[in-house]
Amino acid sequence: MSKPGTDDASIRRSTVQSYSTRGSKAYEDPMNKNFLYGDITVRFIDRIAFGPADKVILDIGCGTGFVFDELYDVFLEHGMRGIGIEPAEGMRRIAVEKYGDDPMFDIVEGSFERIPLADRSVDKIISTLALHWVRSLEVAAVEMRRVLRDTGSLDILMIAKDDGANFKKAIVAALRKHLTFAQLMDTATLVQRVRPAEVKAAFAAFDDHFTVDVAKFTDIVYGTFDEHMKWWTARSTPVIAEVRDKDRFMIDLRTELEKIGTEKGIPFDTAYYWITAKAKDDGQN
Amino acid sequence: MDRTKIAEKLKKLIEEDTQRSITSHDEKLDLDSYTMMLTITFVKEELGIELDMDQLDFDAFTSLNTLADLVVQKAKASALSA
Repeated sequence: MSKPGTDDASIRRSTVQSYSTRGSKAYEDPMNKNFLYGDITVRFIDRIAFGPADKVILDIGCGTGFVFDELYDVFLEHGMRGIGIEPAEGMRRIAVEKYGDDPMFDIVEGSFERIPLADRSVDKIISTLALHWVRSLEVAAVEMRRVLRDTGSLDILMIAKDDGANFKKAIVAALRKHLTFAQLMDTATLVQRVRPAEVKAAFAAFDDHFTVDVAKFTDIVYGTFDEHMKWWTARSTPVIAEVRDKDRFMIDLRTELEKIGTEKGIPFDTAYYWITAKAKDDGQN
Repeated sequence: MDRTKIAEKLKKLIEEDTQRSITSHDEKLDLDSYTMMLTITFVKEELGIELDMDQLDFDAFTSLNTLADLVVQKAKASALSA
């Protein structure tokens, strides 16, 4: 049986467009960068190891250049070159504003399924919270394998299948007042919802030279309504774009989220995967 | 099409996707929208019944029985119009 939402092998145009407009500025908001997914991303980036052979680093779905912001000194210290690819023009423009004149970085248009680089030209692939947007993990994995050297490595942070399961129930309760059943079902398939074993199977293209692992992490992050809205609106622009009366929707959303609130705040039950691919003969396995 | 058999097929699908066991066909499912979409796809591809998204609502996904009723009803309607 086919998985819903996998009829087209590329990221949805509406998703890219909505990220290009409303999403770009919201991503740069300090509250988005420092809370929940921003914090998770920083912790992920800080744990990525770079070796002497890592010279060309590819960040897929680089957004506004957050990874390069965080790793600027590491790139400088290791003499690495960073290539960021991003399909959303609005996001890319901000990244280019930051790094367009810096010889250490290149920001180019592209996506997981269409990487504008030569075969076996990259030493390490990084991606943070972007892989879940692809329509086909298999297609994305084949393309990533194409550009990665046989001695390279990969570190990807991906949203897990059950990320925010309880939080999203409150979101859906509010959305039900504003979207039709069909519209809600359409948004349900915007992102990949896969288990670790399915991720590993999708990365079969790496089996020739790499060992692929998928580690799952969970956490509960409490916040106020405003704190949650900073990241949620930044990351849910394709969904919000469907709602006509956005002011009324935000009132309904506050009501639903406050229903699940505790004395610590509104909980978000986060779950994410750290996907790694290491060369089988790199002497570290 | 047998209602109980349909419910059993849907039970297997939903249990596999949600990684939890369903003890009765009347149990409240509390499905998220992704699993609902998965169910709609399954009904179309495996049971050959296309559910009209514009006529569906969340109540149909309350339990395995409500889902099975919907499929049976749709199958009958399709047979009559054929």
